[in-house]
Amino acid sequence: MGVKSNLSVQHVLIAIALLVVLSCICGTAFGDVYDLVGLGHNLSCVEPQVTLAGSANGTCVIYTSNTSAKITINATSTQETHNYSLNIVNNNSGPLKVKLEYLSYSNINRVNATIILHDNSTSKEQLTIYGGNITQTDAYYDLQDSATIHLGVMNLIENSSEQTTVLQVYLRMKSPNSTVYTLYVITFEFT
Amino acid sequence: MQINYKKSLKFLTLLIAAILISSVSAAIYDYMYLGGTVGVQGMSLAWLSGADGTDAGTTINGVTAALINLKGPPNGTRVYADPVELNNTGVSPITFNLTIDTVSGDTPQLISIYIKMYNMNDSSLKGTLNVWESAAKGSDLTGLQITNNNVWRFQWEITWKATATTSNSVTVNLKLQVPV
Repeated sequence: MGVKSNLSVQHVLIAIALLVVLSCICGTAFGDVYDLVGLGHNLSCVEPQVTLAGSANGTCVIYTSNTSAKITINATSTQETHNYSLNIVNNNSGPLKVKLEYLSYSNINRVNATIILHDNSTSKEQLTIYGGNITQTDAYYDLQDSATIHLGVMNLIENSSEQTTVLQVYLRMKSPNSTVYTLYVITFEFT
Repeated sequence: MQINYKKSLKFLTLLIAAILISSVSAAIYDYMYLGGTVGVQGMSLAWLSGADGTDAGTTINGVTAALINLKGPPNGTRVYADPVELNNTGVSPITFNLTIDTVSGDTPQLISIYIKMYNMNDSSLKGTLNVWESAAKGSDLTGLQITNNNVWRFQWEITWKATATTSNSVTVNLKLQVPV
């Protein structure tokens, strides 16, 4: 009887020992074996190459860091043009190409308008709101080194006076021969 | 019931010895696991510097790619469309996981970091890794499969908060794991 008990305890201990060894080996050998490739990245914050600034029409609010803005314009039943709704300033970053892309909108059928970029002598249409649709030209406009260009809202007219039209666009900027680009958010509010 | 304490003590010693041995075995396997990094090139995966490699400061050293010059303005999104590429030069598809090892530094000034992977052979989006979002590290991507002779570009999208300054920086370490 005593021998049997001793054997049982010994067998249990052997079984535990074997299980411990097997679990350690199997866990490492079959559970976690990978070939690895490393990816290390350092990211830093830099001064904006381009900043946004208020302009003659006094229709915009510029937010912290001067990299986002809201333009508020009262649309009426009479067609109006606001040539200087926002200034876009190149801070000595070399020549850049810039364009507007729509991001989101609501109640867009309330107004018609054309949004352009210009420097008083040349211009390029960017976005057109008409009949409840919005189209973008995807045409880059040249922003020369240390230059300032303007965002203009042309031929703005309301189709109805209900609610407010909100349009969010990206200002996309890049160097002429690069595919690296930067996006700022500009919000239009047509009241 | 009688217990042979002398023999039991011997087995207890054996048990402790077994645990010690197994620990050493695990350490050895860990070493092999790290040594496995050498094997990736043998598995036909290779990093390539992309079209934006110069802007991004891409350097490739064996199986490690480093992007040391990723910059962005406060409250704007900087997009590096093609800083680094992954090429499967082999004859069969390879399945891999993309894991976020660490995100350290001035993370309170970060809004988000996304990596979008595009297959350059057909321009399809293969996956988006949310490296940082909503003030927290994102989730790993598993089970990605790159077809043989295909190249994926890793597009980085970085957005700093409006309050970030030029003294703020972040370090991100990722691992591409190929189960074997």
